[in-house]
Amino acid sequence: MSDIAADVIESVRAARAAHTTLAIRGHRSKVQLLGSPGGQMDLDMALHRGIIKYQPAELVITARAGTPLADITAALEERKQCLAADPPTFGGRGTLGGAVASGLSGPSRPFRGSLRDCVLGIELVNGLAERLCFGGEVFKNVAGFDVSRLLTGSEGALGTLLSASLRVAPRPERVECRKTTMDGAKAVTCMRNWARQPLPLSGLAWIDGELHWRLAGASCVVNEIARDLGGVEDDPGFWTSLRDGELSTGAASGLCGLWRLSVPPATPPEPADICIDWAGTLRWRDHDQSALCMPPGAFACQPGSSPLRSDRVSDLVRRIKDAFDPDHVFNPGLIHADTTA
Amino acid sequence: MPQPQALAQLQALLPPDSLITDPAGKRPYETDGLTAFREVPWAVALPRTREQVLAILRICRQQQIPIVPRGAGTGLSGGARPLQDGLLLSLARLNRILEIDPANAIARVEPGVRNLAISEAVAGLGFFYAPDPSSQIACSIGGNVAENAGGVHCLKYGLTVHNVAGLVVATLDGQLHELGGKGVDPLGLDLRSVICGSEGLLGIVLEVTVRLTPLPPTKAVVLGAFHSLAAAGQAVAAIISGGLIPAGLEMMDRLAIKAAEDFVHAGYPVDAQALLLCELDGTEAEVAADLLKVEAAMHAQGAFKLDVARDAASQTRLWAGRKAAFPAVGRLAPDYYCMDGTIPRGRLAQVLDEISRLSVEYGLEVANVFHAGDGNLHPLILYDANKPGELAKVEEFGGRILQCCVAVGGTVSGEHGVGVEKLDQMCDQFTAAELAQFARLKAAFDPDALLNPGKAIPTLARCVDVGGMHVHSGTERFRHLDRF
Repeated sequence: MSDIAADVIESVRAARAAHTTLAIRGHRSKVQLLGSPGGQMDLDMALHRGIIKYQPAELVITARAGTPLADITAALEERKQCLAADPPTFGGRGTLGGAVASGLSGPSRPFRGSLRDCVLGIELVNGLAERLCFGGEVFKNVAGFDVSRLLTGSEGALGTLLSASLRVAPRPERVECRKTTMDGAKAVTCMRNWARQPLPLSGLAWIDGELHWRLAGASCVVNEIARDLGGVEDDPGFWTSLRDGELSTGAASGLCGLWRLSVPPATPPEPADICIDWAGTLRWRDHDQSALCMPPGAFACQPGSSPLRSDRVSDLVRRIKDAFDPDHVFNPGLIHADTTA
Repeated sequence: MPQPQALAQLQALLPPDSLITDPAGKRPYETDGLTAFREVPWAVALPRTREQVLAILRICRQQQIPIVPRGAGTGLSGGARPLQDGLLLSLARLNRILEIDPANAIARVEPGVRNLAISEAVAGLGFFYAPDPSSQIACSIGGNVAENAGGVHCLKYGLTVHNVAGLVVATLDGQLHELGGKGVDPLGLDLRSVICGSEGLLGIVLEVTVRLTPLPPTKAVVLGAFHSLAAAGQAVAAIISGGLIPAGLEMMDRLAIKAAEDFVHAGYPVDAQALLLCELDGTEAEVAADLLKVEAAMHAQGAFKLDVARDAASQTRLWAGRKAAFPAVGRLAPDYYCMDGTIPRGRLAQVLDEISRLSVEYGLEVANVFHAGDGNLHPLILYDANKPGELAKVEEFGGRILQCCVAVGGTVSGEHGVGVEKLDQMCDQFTAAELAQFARLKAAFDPDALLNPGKAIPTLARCVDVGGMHVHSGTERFRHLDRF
């Protein structure tokens, strides 16, 4: 447990005064996937850690940005709860702040909601070195613009997170992992067919000619549905590897060298689709494809340099960046707002 | 007041039935669901197409005319209250369902489509649109996006923001922004999130792609009656801590129970101090398993009556009292004032004690209905607006309830929005720096400050003195709508 909020604010104030830029960092768990922010000085948030408040009956946990996700999931586990969005932890190194800033969700995303859906409130330091709170600890809250959700996935471009409150979920009573052999086109049809039914799914993905599914919920329900859907027993570790992008497949070693893009889930698979996750929505596509073929928000990491992105710079996004960080103190070059600013 | 030239430009753009300038024609638009605030707008525009909307925005920007966007006008915080020198822009005629795509479980609709019309259109395909604000037979999806509307079932299925996949939004510079779409979670800033709940301050929603949810095969509703509010509150905590997320979990206090029972005869036990209604849905096996847990949790907390409705008719009967709670309470006094705060569930007993104490202090009765599952409280303060000074007393009382919500870690608005109603309470909840950040965010979208100015975000200079949702002798607009 340590609180370095005062130091963080001072660092931002000093950087602003000196016209230097800051690279926000935690444990650098996502450098391989999302690249490294290009600031002149590091703003190390890893020391700002610790669970501030955990109220199981309220389904909410508040922790400092540098808290490892592993610490949070361990605390939740003790009270039979979990993070519904199951964000990647990258071998346990990922922090809460990094998870919120990158806005990445795990395989349960289409069934249990995104990480962004779990963020109830945040505390940040903006580019003016002001400490601000938005949202809170309650689920229903329409007072003011929803800055908490805006900050989720903003990659540190708008400010540095000090803490976040997340909605947590009951841990499923029973989890059952199954798989079967299937080609990609059939898998997408099957995924859409299942997604239309009220099945207790918490994962539905295809890779290397196999459809994998994970059921989670009350034992009686999971057992019954598992029987109905058939397939053979699968290794639960598959889902952790998929979440953390660690699978090595026949076509690629790790998902990290591929385009990660979001499509309408019923889109027929392309031959370049190496992996299909999120019941059809998330595709990992061969790296040779041009960014021009990709929808907005797609990215592909490149070892040793910044990831390729399909985004086009929008004036509106640039103005939003200016509204939070007028002097562009934070993470220059990481988000598109800065590439032409 | 805008120049005559502006009027001429709008007249050249729109057919005569799409532009209202005569006083009698404008009168129906002078207020929304919060009838305490009325203002006749300079003009009312009712465009039918996206192109007309964009042209209207261009004219208003050029002539610097403020715009107040309006959906169905059912909002409860005055978000669509017109401005005397502003254009009221109704999106009600953009009301086409553009696409229903069952394979991708989405529907693409224009902003004027009614909330319930979406569920009706997709029911045959085995889907529904989950957010169900109480005004759902009349309110529009565009208004739902602007207010981030909730409803009874949002504990399990989420608010509007969780069920919107994509938006097409026009900013005042005439730019169209396609935000999201049929996919999910692209990397980068998620502007859908700030548009949802922005109360018309950032842009005009022209198209909404909503997520459709598979209809649950079966439902059950449990009624539990308790001798104290604290016990009912503990039952709520026990249900949630026990690992259940019910489709709905509602609480009523003694005064609300009695009023509802007298009004609709739902079969509620009038000797109860608190009543819980819990709806469960899912597969047969799931509902059966969850029912056992809910019954056990209520029993353990001392429920003296448990009633389970398994068929649609008895479920409707149990819900009837809750859904009629507002009009039922309305029969107890000439007027009532509806509050809308959210608190952490565990603070329920403390907040209700404080409300009781304030009730004695102000000499005004309060009935409480409560979306217990997600901590959203709707105290209804009973009063008589004809008694000199009573209205001011009620407004002060209501303000203190919201202050109490903020003090225990809650918020001044759970689902009704800030509008013009809670501007001063926003100053309790946010610091000057936070309000200034909101203002800079607004300016990023709307540098001319012409979109719904004076709503939702108070200026630093003044936190205006405003009232609340006032209902006088049954003169509430849309009285045929359930309010819950």
